[in-house]
Amino acid sequence: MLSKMRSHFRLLPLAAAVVALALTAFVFAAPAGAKVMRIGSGVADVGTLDPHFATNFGEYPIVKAMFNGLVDLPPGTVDMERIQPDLAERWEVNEDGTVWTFYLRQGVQWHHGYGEFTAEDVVFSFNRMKSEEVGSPWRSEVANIKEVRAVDPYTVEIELHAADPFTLLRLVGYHSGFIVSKKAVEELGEEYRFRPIGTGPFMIEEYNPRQSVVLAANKDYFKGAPKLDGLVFLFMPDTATRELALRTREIDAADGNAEQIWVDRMRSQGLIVDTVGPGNGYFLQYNMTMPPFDNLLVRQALSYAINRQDVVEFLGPALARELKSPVPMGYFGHTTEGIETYDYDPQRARQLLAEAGYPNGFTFDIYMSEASSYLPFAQIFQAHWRAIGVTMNLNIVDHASYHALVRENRNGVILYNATRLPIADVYLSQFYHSDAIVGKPTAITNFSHLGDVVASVDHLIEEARFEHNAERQRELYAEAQRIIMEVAAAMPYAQRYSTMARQPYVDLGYELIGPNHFDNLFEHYIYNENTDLIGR
Amino acid sequence: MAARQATGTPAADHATFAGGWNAPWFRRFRRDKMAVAGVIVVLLLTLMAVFAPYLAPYDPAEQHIIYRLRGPSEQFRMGTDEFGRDVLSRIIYGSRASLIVGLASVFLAGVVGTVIGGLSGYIGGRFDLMVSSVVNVLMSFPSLLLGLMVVVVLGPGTTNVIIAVALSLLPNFIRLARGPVLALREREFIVACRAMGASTTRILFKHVLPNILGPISVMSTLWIATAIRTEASLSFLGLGVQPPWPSWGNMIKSGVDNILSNPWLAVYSGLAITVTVLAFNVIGDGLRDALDPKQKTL
Amino acid sequence: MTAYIARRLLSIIPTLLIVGSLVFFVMRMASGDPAVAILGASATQEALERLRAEMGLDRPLLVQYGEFLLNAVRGDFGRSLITGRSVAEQVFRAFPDTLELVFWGMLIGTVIGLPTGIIAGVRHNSIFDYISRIVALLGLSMPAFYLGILLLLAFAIHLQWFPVISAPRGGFFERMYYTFLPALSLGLIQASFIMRMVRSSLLEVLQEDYIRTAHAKGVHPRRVSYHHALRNALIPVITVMGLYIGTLLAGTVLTETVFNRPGLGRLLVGAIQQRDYPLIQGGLMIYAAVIVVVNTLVDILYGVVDPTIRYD
Repeated sequence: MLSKMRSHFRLLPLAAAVVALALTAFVFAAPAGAKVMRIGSGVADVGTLDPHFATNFGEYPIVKAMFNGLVDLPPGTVDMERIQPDLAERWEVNEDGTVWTFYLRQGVQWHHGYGEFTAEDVVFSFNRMKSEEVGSPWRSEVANIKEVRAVDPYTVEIELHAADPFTLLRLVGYHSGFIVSKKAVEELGEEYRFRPIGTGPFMIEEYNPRQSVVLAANKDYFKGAPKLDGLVFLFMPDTATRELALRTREIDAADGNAEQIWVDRMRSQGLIVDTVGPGNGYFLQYNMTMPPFDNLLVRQALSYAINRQDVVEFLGPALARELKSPVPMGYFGHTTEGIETYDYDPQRARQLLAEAGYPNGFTFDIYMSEASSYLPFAQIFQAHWRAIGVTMNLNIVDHASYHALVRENRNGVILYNATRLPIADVYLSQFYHSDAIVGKPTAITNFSHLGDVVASVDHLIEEARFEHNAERQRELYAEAQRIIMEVAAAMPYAQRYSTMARQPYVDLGYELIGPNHFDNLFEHYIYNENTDLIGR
Repeated sequence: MAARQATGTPAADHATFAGGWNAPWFRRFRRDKMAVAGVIVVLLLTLMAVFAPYLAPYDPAEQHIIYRLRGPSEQFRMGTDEFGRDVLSRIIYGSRASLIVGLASVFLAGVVGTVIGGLSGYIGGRFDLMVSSVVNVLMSFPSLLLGLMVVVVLGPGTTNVIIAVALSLLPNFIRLARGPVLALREREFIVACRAMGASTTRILFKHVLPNILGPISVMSTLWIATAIRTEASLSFLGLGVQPPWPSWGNMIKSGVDNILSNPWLAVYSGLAITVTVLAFNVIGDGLRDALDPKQKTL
Repeated sequence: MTAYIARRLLSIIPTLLIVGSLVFFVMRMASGDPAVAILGASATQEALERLRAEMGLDRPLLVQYGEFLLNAVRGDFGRSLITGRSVAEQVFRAFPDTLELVFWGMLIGTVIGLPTGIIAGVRHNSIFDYISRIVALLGLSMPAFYLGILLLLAFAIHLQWFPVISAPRGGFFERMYYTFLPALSLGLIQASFIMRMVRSSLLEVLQEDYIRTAHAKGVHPRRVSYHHALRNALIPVITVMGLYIGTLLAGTVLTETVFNRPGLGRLLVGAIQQRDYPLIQGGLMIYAAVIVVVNTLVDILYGVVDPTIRYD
């Protein structure tokens, strides 16, 4: 018996040798010297790569590398004065500013053989964006569009309900401005989520859930073939992992960690750290229809109990500032003048809580994202509220689930961070207008239910949107911000510059303008046809 | 394993805990220096858990954000975590989570498992067949996987982790109790009892139970170690004890997240787990050797 | 003999059936209504009913259960709730990376554990025996992921000998390089188990009558230890090593997380965090199937090498 076994074992080394030989063959099969840029993405996964749905902070830079809008901002800035042609070569506007005509670039090809880009695709994209059934989260951005018409294959007319001073800005290749291929969306159906077909410098190669997204260069890109052969976005939700991978040159660029110690450490390692602003607004909203948060005194008490300084200290004073208004600093329309800012006052908080009928506090549960841009702040507030007797239990879920759950009204307190087009209208429309209330067919990200509870906010936002007198527009925005804070619908607490890190050999291909009031890079490096690795 | 199973003859043949302080097994156990050291460590840990509020220099949930992620210093002996919470205090309080989960889950599994296993062995027949085939399948599963499965159903949290760990240990206890009972059932004195008209309950409690308590106690000590490790693993995956309360597992998790800023966080909390599990393991080894001198091997 | 093997192989089927039922009913308990899990609580009644009909959820539970088993046999575990992709595809894509880790872990564990155990057993009560026993006890008490963190700190962060992210790529040797640290962290723990097993098994055999006889007959002591005793001592060790493959597999769940390594474990943990029930179901089934199959094979192997086992 044993001897029989042994003779079988004798075959093992032979089998092992064959396997080893076969595997070594792979070493030589790997393409030599491919110039692929490896990027450490700060999320654990993406939920979609459909540009009309990409919201999560890991999704945008990937989508941006694959898609174009009709127009674009100069790379490296958000200079609203210098919006430049992209898929449209030039444009005209009628006298009252309600009809815009775009003349499209000819001969632009969709990725992976989906044919030529034409006016049909533009019409399709905006209709898709507007469609309630499709349900894009950026719908409100295009709500003012009455109709999009294809005049001929290379000319498109966009008719607006009313003239909007920020029309062009809303059409740039950002959330609502991306143009998708009609043919691809219709043919691929559900599959389009992870097989997006664009016109950009890079195209989808593969998506590996929870691991990576691989993009290949689009050699036929209309602005010229990219200098890189491809981009690989590796999901690395742990900040330590991204840092180590940067140090050991396992990746070329990465989402940063907005912490002062991190920035200093990375710079001392010879890496380039860019801070991009004007930064992410950090705020929490109370669900004003859910007890006990339907009680103004409770909301006020919780807001007074928050010490914004702790958050700023946590993020690093060089990277973060206290935010005291529902519209972030640097966004057109922001103000803190004449509004209640709920500066830290635990005494007052306890008093208000007692007045509200909770002298001994209360306990509530919320869902919270595990993401490092959410969970720590929830834990800081947990400690702040514990000090006034309020117990908040955290039910920790992954980031995508958190986003899904808060849209189902499951939380009484909702934490949110957002960077949007830097105008008050976008922030206010998406977070405080009644149309944006979650659960409605027109839902976006209004978790507070404010527009329904206090109707006057809706009118202010709408009136301001089409106000051509900038002074009057500012006044209307100021009034909206005052009301939001007065009823304690939200507690804005911090504004943070984003950080990005790259190896010294990474050439972005454009100049990055340092933080000032219109340098919003949407928190990310943008990888385009000029991005290069020099001497890696 | 096979060897152990082979000697896994009816427990009545083993030395049991009977005999008080001077019993031979206890004298052997006392002479085992490692085991005695293990007992001392566990006693110290228990004291630490009970008197945590008096021993910990800080409230374990109290944040001092300006001192976040500092290494060990005069002020914070083991440094601070990402919220500037005192790591030493959190380790002291964290012993509560580990010991409570360890002891409670083993106790729960021990009671329920012994009952099911005992009944299964005593009743026999189809019931026994069903129980033992399910147990056989479950036995081949690592306790972590079973624990994960249960937490998926119940959701995270301390109580649920206790249930999850208990359920993952259950098959071990069922098997441990079933074997000896099965053998005892046919032994003369039980048959005699039955013939004399003793009730089943009486037979089980008076004659069967004392006979199987010995091996169950020994294995329990070893399984406390497994339970503590499983709790740490589940907490490490974020499925165990929830913030702000400390458990060594979730402290390691936060240590890994901040491993470059303050590596001590992960190192200290992992050390705490290792020492505790080690202590229970040595006690278990010592007990086994003492109760079964023939098998002084492991 | 052949009948014995056939019977053992056939016994895999009821075992997998039990596992499958367990997983199905447990997941159903966890997720409640899968339609709600997909569409969310705010979905309209109409939409829910449409989806339920589409997914066959409106039929009796037992019918669904039967269908689940039937599909599982065909390797179809449905689609992920999050990505909408086939669960089987995701699971099988992740599985080779995990197997690779388990293989090297097992190899390292055996290469270290086996000789250490033999020497400790033969020279028991020597300094070597004493030290290796303490080290093994330490290894047994240390969670594999903690050892992983320590190795990561020492070799990847401080010395920078090994990569921090263990996503294996490239050819055989490159993959080995990426897999080394996580495999070592699993392997060292594994070595502790094996060392203790080999040692105790060897000690037991050395006390057996036939070994005493061999000594009495004047066979050279070394020959007795290494030739007669070892062969018999290793038989139970094989079983135990087989059984610990399960533990090793479970260990990968944590090790992959520490080393940021793709694989079944991380897929499963991610699925749990995302409450992606079909994916959890598929992942657990694969783990279960592998463990059951390995256990059975070990059983058979044990039966083959140990002549004292009766095949009835």
